[in-house]
Amino acid sequence: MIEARELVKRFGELVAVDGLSFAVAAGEIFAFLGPNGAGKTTTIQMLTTLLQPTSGSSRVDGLDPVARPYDVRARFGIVFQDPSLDIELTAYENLELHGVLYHVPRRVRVDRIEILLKLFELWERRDAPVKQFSGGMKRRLEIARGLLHTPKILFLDEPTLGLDPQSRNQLWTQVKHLNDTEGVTVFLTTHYMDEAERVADRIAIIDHGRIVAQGSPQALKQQTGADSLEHAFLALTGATIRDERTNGAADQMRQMARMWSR
Amino acid sequence: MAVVYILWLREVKRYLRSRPQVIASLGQPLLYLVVLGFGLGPVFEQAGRGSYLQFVAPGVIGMGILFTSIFSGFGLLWDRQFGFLKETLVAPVPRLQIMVGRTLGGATITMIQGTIVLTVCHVAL
Ligand SMILES: Nc1ncnc2c1ncn2[C@@H]1O[C@H](COP(=O)(O)OP(=O)(O)O)[C@@H](O)[C@H]1O
Ligand SMILES: [Mg+2]
Repeated sequence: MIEARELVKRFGELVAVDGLSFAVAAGEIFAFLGPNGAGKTTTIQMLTTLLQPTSGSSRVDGLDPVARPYDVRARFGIVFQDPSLDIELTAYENLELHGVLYHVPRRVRVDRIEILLKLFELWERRDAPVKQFSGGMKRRLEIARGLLHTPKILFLDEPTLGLDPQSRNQLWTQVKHLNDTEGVTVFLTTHYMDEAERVADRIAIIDHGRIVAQGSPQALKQQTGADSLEHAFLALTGATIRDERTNGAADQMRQMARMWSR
Repeated sequence: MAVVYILWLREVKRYLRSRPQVIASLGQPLLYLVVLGFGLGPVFEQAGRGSYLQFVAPGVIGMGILFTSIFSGFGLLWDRQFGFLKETLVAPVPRLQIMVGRTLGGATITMIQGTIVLTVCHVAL
């Protein structure tokens, strides 16, 4: 369903993704597990037509994202690492807008929105503006939105970042449920080991733009002789702390600068 | 067409819901009209050239339109900052339709603003 061959992405000197190859089968839940700055988001951006790879190629549902971006875009749903809802609009309006953008016929749209809002326990709050929602509710709404056009593939980029344990638990239960009932292929990234272990059929551990190990959670544990995936993860990626892309003032300034220079 | 319409609708809804924006963008032309109109008005009339309000009104309306347009252009930067832009960038629709929808939305808002100021001028005269 998803295939990457020797994908490379350079930002100037920096090699963010360094020759990644992997394949995800239809109906599988595949987790990309790696520390901050490992290249998870960059990989997703290349698969979802937002970035052109420096070299290498990929296939999403058999299609090349570079050659056929529109066809590829219609086939996946995505939850970005950073929020992407229109917070001035209501939950329902956000979904409605998404449905129209993805050419979902009105009748199907109305039914599907209701099903998804009920599944993600947002139906009662459908007419409230999104700015009044909690972090968990926003995240659930984004996932509901990503599934609205019944995509074959769902990309989840650190969907549980900043959520409390209850919300995380609920979110994964719902994702699992959708994987079971609708057979949607899930490609997720996280740096919570316990989550990857709980939901993923297969895990690839990525560091410095390379896959250092991949396999089922059990296989990974065996491979490193670690008793938990957390230990396996640390054994493979080293225990040093990475500089996270912080949300401090400096980052804001940089973001502003980038915004104006494009 | 549906895509253009829904993006147009989004712009208009956002405008109608943000009271501060409506008030702020009306405040500026009204300030010019009232302060300059009633302050400088008598001076102008003493010079014997008719109504000053009539003289400044078209300029004030024009300026209001210009400001509102710039403001709605800024919306794109806001969307970038708040992330909504990504949602439109991964959608399977041509960029042109996205641009047209937004632009028509901005134009509609500007027209509403312009009409309000025009009405105020008309009443004041
Ligand atoms: N647009 C960009 N320009 C320059 N460097 C970038 C850009 N996007 C990401 N990077 C860099 O690429 C590396 C990988 O980033 P990313 O894919 O976001 O990591 P992850 O999602 O695994 O935390 C990081 O070192 C990051 O700073
Ligand atoms: Mg990331």
